[in-house]
Amino acid sequence: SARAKQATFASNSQFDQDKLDELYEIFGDGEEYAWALEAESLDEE
Amino acid sequence: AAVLKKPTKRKKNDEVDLEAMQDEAIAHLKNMMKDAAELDIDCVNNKKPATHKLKLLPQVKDTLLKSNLYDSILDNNLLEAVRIWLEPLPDASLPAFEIQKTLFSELTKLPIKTIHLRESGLGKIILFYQKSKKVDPSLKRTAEKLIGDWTRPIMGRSDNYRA
Repeated sequence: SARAKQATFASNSQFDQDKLDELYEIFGDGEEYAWALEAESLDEE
Repeated sequence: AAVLKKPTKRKKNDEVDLEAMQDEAIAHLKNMMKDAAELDIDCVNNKKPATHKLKLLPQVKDTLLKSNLYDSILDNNLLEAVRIWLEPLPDASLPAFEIQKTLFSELTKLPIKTIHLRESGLGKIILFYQKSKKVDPSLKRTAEKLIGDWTRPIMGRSDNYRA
């Protein structure tokens, strides 16, 4: 049924969101060392 | 029975003692690594040569090479000090190539789990190495491999159990 599909989708979305949250927790959001990457770009210019 | 039991108990105590000694040695090394990193940052800020990490590198390498210390290395979060050593310096320069090469080489051998990455923040600096244009191509490849190896257990898990 549509309700069952919706529940499965919500469940999977939550599942994927958990994994995504964990990946962010481990690898960060890319901002941690953004200052150094920006400095690299400035050096190149 | 008492005669048979005694050696077993003694061996267990010896093992506990050895483990405690290893933990203490790793904790000491971790503090030395953090101190060396701070001193190098001071040197860079004062425009002096930063050599404290390089001087300590042989000792760090010797320790990381010993597979019997892996548990102690991971349990005592020596990876936090490894992360600090790999971080860019205040002038955005990278640590000496010898440091990068040695640490990356040893990281590929350690049985690092998700919990160790969460505690140490190591994944964040490895992601930086994968992105940085200053990093040697061979180390970039190692960074990519490590990221893949560390991502796979999370993506492949069949439940949301956190390791």
